[in-house]
Amino acid sequence: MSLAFSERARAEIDRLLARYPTRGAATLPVLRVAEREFGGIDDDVMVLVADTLDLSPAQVRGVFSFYTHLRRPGWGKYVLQVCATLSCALRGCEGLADHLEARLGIRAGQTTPDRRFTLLKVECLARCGESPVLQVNDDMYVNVTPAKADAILESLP
Amino acid sequence: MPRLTINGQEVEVPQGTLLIEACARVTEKPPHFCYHPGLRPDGNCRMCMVKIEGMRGVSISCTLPAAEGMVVSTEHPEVLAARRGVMEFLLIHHPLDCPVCDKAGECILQDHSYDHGRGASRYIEPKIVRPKRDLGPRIALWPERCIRCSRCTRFLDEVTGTSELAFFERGDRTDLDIFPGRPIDNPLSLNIVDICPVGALISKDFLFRARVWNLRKKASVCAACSRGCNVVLESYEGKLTRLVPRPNPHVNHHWMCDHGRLSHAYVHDPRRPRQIVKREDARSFNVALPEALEAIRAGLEAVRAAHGAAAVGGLVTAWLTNEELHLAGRLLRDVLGARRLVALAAPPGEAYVAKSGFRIAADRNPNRAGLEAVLGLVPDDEAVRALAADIETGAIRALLVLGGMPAPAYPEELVAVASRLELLVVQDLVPSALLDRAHIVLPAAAAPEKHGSFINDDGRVQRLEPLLVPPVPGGDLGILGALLRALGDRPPGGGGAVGVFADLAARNERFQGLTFQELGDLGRPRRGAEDRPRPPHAAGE
Repeated sequence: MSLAFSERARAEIDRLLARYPTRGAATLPVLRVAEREFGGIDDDVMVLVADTLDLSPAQVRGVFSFYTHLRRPGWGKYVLQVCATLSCALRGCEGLADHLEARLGIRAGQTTPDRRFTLLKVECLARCGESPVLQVNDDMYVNVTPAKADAILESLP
Repeated sequence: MPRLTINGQEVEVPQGTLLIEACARVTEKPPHFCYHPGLRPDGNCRMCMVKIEGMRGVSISCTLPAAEGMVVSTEHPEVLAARRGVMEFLLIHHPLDCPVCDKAGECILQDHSYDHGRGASRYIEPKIVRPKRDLGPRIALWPERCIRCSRCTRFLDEVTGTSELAFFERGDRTDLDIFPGRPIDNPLSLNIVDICPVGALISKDFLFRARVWNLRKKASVCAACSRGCNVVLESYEGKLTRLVPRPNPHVNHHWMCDHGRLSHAYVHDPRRPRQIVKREDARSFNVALPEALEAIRAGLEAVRAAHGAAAVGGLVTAWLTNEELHLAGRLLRDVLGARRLVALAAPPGEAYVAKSGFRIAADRNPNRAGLEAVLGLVPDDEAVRALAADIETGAIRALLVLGGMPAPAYPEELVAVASRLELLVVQDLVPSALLDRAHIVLPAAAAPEKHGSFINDDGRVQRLEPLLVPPVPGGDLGILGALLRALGDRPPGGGGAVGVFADLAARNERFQGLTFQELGDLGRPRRGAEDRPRPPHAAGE
């Protein structure tokens, strides 16, 4: 329970706070720091972030849960985000998602038993011109076909 | 002072007035869900739209200050169409379970649905289903009914500063909830139930106890502390069922505390003394008031004849109204010439100041300021102990205890010497060791049974209106008037609250210039007290 930020993280948070008008305004970037620091955001991390920013844990959870891009507890080493918004849908993202579900043996929203992959269907990833789009952790892949997806997955360490 | 035209009518409003409030001056307030006068506007529900000439489309009136020369319509066809659209979207996932919903009858979604809804839904997809859940010791949530207006989260952000509630996820998955393991348990939590425009937030205390249209209501004042929050007392089948705050910018704005709402269990406690009792030789009888009065008169006469007028003492509490205190003073000081008149203090509670400045007083003597203004007395247990010492030495042989309080707080010393008294009259709201030793027991009236006035800790004189019938008809005022008559005097002004108050105003400079009627629903400052509404929001925000 006695979770704490490292010296380095605290210094980074201080630098971030100086850039925002209120402590609460720095919630997202501080969540990013916490994600790196602890490998994901669980309830304990949210409480720590809330205490750090003089917010209530509910306020931090409100921000955290609004977004899909912050790692949640239990997610695998690689988080595969398939964009499921309109442009990608018109260009065949359903097929891509179905292919990944079949290949990994899980449904969207689930994690493989070996904790290697988490598959998510998410809203717009803002690369509509090159849809369908697949994001693997922080790397974006465009014009993804099932075959290309296989290649991407196989290339992962 | 901008002048503008609303629905063809010209109106001038103070600078900074929101358009929604300006509209309310000439017509009905535009329908709205998220706007609340006690909270900062948020503009999220989009229901309060009006048409402003020269502006494209329709505009929401809750975030827009009224401006010079505006020409506004609240009933423009575009406005009506937009409202219908908003209603349709709000009702898409609403369960429409009004028949089993606590809020039905005072639900603005229900009201606006009648006025602006389509009557039938075009939505054929499955509705979102979310079972009810607990949010804390006093509040439960029916998530399906929530329309995400954020009144509750803004209250908890702005007024209490505790922010227990937030919206999680987004879009159609948006869900109001607490953080796991962090329930809503702040002293003002039940206000979010009042301001919830639908039946999403529910008071567990009130849940399924009554349909709101069957409630009888009276505007009165809360007696749980010396703050005197303005309230509406509500009863169902003769039982006090709910207290809700009544807006008063001088005292409580739109709010009241949970303690005030929930501290009235004593009113219907089966152990509460409801009969006039006479005890003789360890036997007790229920008697009618005249017989009790005669016993008191005879007892007082015997003591005064044997030991002199100074052998009589009096003890009062701050649960007596100003009018009752005035009669008690007349009885004990003027008629009986009592040696000691003291006031019993209620044990202090916890003081609380919310982020917004809303206060709960630690002083739990609701009419402490009245006690001081009318009788010059301060509730003081030391004085009660001195009275006990006088009883012990035999200097005091007869004692009248008047007013009572919801939690017995008589000092041990007094109880210990009570049996030495030749006459002990105790009027109280709850059983106590002192009551057990009384020769005459008189039931006291509870605050929701009283007609009269209290003075709050700002010096504001405020009216209590009786919602319930007191155990003895006429209440404490009636008993005191009858006692005066039994002793050969008569209560001033006919003995009713209005007349007694007039007599008090004529004799006591602190009440000078006031009349009971003119106290109105919002009270008036007593002479010498400040009269300034406080801003609803915390300073500097």
